[in-house]
Amino acid sequence: MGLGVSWSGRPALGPLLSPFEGLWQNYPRSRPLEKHFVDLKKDTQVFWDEYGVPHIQAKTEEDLYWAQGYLVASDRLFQMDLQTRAAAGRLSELMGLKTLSVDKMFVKMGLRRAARGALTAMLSEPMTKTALMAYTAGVNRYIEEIRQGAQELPVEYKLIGAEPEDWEPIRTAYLLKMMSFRLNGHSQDLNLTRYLKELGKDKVEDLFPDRFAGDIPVVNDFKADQKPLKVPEEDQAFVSSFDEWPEYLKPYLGNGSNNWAVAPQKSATGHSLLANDTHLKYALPAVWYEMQLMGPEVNVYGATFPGAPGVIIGFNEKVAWGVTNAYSDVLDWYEVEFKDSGFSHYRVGEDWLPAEKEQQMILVKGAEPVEVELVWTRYGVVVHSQNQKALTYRWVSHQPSNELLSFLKLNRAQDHKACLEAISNYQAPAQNFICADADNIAIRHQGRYPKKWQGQGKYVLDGSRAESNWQGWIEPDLIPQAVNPEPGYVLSANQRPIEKGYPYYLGWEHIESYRSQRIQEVLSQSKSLAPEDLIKLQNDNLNKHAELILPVLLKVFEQGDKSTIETVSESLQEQALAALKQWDFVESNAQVAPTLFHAWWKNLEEAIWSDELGPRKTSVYPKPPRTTALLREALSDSRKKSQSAWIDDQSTPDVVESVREVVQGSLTKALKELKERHGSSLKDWKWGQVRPSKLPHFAGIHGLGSAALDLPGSAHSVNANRGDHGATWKMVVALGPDMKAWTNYPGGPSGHPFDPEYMSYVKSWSQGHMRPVHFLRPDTDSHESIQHTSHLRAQESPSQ
Amino acid sequence: MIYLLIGIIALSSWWLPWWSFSLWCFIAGLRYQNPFKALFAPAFAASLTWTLVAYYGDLRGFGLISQRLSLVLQLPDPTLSFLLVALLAGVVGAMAGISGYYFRLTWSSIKKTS
Repeated sequence: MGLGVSWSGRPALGPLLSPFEGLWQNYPRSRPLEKHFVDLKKDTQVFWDEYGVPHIQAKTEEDLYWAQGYLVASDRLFQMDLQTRAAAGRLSELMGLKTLSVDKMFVKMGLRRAARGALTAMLSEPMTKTALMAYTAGVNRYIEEIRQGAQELPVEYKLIGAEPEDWEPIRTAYLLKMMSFRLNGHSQDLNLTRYLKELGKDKVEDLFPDRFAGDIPVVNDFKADQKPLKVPEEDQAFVSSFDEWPEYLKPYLGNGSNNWAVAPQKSATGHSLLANDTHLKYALPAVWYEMQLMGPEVNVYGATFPGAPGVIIGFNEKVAWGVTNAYSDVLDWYEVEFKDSGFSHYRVGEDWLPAEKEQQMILVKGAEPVEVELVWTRYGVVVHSQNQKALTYRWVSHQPSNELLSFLKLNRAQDHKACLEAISNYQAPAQNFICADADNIAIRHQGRYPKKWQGQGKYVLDGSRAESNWQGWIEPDLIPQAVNPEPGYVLSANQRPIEKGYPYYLGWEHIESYRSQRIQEVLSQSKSLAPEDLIKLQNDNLNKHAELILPVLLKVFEQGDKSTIETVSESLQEQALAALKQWDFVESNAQVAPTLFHAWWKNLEEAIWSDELGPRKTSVYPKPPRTTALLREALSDSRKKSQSAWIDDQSTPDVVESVREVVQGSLTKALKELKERHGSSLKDWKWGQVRPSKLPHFAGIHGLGSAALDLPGSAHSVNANRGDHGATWKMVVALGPDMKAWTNYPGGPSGHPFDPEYMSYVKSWSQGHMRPVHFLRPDTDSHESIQHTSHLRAQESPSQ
Repeated sequence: MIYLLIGIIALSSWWLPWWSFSLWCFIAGLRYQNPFKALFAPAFAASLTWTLVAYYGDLRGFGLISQRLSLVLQLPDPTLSFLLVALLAGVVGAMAGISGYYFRLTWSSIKKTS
């Protein structure tokens, strides 16, 4: 580090440590009592409750979103700036060469064009235009105050030696496209294409089926009287030469969520109940910003995205809604053949269609700008090429769309029908929306889905055939939906959306049903559910997968014949088996059994699949239900030496491994690994210790994240926690005349790392507690929960 | 002299850039007759002023600034954040002070020879 100038990307120490202008000036400021703004049309109030949640009361729509923009910027400016810069491929303007690869990735994905399309759509709709422009002006007012020295520059800007630029409406479009990328921007088509070449289609279909026994679809009994699309035989036979992932589009399947609603007949309150917890990557500042917006036509409370107007998940006086990621396939890969090495024309059928070229520039701090050429086909942007063949992908999120309109309409919906109508044009990222009013519940697998024939897009498609293209869009009335279904509840946990027989292909990558099975189990067993029961279910740590497979695995050790596999130590194995036998499948921190089960399962998967599919790091393994079914089947007849070719290790051609050997050997390997990492005492293998969870700073700035947290659960428990992923927003709403709600999220309202409110909710969230929401009614002047009121006064412009 | 220097650094630094205190230390160095005093007095004044103002900022931040800063800079203890501030101001102050002292000596010898 240099004293006065930054060096090698590190900040200059002098200004950073100066107590007069550096980080020491970033102590938390008290909230203003009164401020005057020329931008406001009417006086506006902000009420801050005991948890630091702001409640804005405005007399015009413009003032409402202006104040939202101003407030969110005051707490989360750097987060808003950096997230949207990332999507725009503009990080290198601040960070230099070290972020160039990330910028190239987002630029090459065509996110700039996608955001421009979304912005045009938002600005062409009066409701979204008003909200967007007012929000933008509010953010810019705060930035102007920083420039004038009336507000302190956020800590992170000082650390990287940068300053904010003016906020523009397209930043909101970038934010929404970024969410689309995170939730709907991946697919496994290329991995499966590799397997197709190595194993053949029958085996791949065996390992990666579209559905599993025991699946609980999001929507049951949905009638779509449409004939399935004809499957072209030629496309079935096509095997692409491409099977490698471009580095930047590797799929991540850690995101998930739960939502469910209980109908009045099953509710202890006599009115509908709704619960939602959204699972994303843990980060500080928190992913969400909680607030209430009270305007002339809206009174809504919930989770907002820092950078977008309105409430994304929440409730108003009549309606509540929640979302989970749909996981239906809206991204397909195509191999296209170009006429020449200049990529000017590509073949479709007998024709050569012109490709569109687009030049994009990436500015780099301290280096020359980098030019990136994008080649667009009818499918999408080319990401990879070999000779004259190229790999491109078609993605719903490249289409112009106005998701903001859906959210603003949701904020104003007055019953479940209006809620469903509000989302009817919502496109991406596709979500399972649950809508509830006091007397009705509904679920809809909403998104813009391409019409595809069975299996279309599971593997890389032949882009030179017209039939390979998407066959239009699924009509709104054919999108799976259920209103007030018979069991008295609706639920989703990223699982398969619909039963067999749906005319269009929605993909195979939906999350296995363990969480949804547990939710259904609890909801169906109770005749009368109270809000407390929903909160308890959100914190449920029972692992249905373990419940299903562990007793079967343990039987291997009960059948008398000792393992021929060398064990790590007999006493250690006995202790481990005893812990597993006593386990109630609840993944609590103080237990050793979850550690043993997860280590064992990981080694089992590797033992079974690594010989055929490759190492875990570079491969995708069949989903746990497939491996579970394979093991259950193989273990059901203990007399067979090797019940499945999948279980036999292909790398040892002279030996045929039995399933019992694989199961025993995997446990031995797991115990060895655990012993190496955590010592030989099982006391040191507790789940909370072995798998600590952390909330890192979202931009990876060292020291601005949380310490290790002791969180229970795993990916398969309703209280989903992967250590780096989990519930980033939890909400339970009891609808009806006496509307009540409870929320919590990891983080706090403030995005300033030196502010106590930066992590003020973390402790209660990690303990599974929920905060009762203070939902204010319009024209509130006082409420017992209000700790502070800021009066934002409309001031006449000097030029008027 | 040292109290005056502390006062000037404390007041002017609110308006001038972070390095402005080195000018006052340089001027103080011009006036000292002893090189040790020219080295240590500005260092002490700058260190004390910066540390006290940093401590005040930390108090207003409920102690979180020093705590977080020590994590960002990977220091083993929050107290070391203050030590780093003191060290930085002290080194700059000392260099400026001794520069002032030797500047005066050089200037005097040039004047004498001419």
